[in-house]
Amino acid sequence: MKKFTNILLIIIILFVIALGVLTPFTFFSKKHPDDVREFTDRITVTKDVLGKVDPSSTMLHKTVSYEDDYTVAYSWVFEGTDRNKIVGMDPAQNVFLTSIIISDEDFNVLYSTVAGSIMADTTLHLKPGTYHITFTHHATRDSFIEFAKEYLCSAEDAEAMADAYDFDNFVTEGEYEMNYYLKFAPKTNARMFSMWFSLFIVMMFLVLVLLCASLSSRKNNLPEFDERQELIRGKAYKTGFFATLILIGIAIIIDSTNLLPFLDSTLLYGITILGGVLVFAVYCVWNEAYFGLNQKSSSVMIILAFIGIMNLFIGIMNYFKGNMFLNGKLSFGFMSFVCAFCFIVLFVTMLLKKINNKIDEEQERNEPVEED
Amino acid sequence: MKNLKLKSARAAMDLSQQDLADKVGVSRQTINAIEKGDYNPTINLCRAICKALGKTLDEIFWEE
Repeated sequence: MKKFTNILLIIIILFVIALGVLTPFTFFSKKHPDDVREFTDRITVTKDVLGKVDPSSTMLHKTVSYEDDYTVAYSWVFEGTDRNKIVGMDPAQNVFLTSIIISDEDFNVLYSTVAGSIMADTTLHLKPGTYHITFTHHATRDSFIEFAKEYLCSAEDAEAMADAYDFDNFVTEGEYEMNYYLKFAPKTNARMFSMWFSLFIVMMFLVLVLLCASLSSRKNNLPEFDERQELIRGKAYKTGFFATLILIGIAIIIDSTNLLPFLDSTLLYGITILGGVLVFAVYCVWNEAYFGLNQKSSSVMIILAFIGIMNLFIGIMNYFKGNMFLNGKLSFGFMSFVCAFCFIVLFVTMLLKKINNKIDEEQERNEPVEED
Repeated sequence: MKNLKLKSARAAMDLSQQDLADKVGVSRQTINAIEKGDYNPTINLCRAICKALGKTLDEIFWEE
């Protein structure tokens, strides 16, 4: 049982170290210079404008530098509406129907849709060049049918599609602010972990398991703890576990209420896990239960300082390479700084404890013994 | 409560905390914690300490 616990412990420690070392390297993957592009446009629709919108169009241009599969996401919402909560919006509120056409330099249509889909997600294979994105607004049935016949389907199908929209009840009075949003993201970048990287992680994990099994067979390599240290480690596990639970609770609240909109969810939960591990490690170090009786702290401290500084350095590189923010949010690239922070905190705790121990030993040596 | 009997027995044998810790197979901090009264050792560790110091359990751990 003890052997199994030791194996498990080594797996966890190695996995955390591997995570700390490997995480920064996931961001060395090739990125396109025109990484993700978002277009937003705002149109004020008034009673006067509505009369002219039939059809009316806005054109944007996007230049693609690298051939890739691009994810196109598109939505339009009324001013003040949460873009993420527009599913089920009443179509009768429409002041007009918006369609989008993506065409190449020669105006060959690559993609077209209508606003009925509210949020469209599609993949386009784009070669280097300039592309035109045209928003067309239809306030009447006839206008829409003309558009659908030209870009979407047959005349019969266009009639059937038009029936799905209640053009007669479109709001034609008042003022409306409409937000248009279009996002182009190369799929290579959208995939955080590619299939090969996932396979690499699985292989690494298997290698770690085999390594741990091999190490555990050599008894001398395992840390040995005395009874006080075992007790402290049990308390540390408990503290770390509750700290993780609390942090997960906080993370869920932050994530669900969008309290910190600049934080990516993946990063948030990554911080949670590292936070729990850090609490365990600091508790053990401060209570002299991190290193076994047969272990030296100096070499571990050097490794921790090295990993911490390396993560800090990679984090700074990520910042200057522009990998720190994605869609205006702190992305997983920030994890390097979090890892660096954890390793440096651990290093500083060990250093303080070491100094504290030196003073303690000196005092013990010089203290006169009180006889009973 | 501080365990002064242990401290004086150790000093009488001219042993440092580290020396005693090595003899009984625990860390220096564990011996320090016992002497300071921050940790109550198990009976097994008490016996090991007594054997290392050539004392009985009563002499080191019995409070009068």
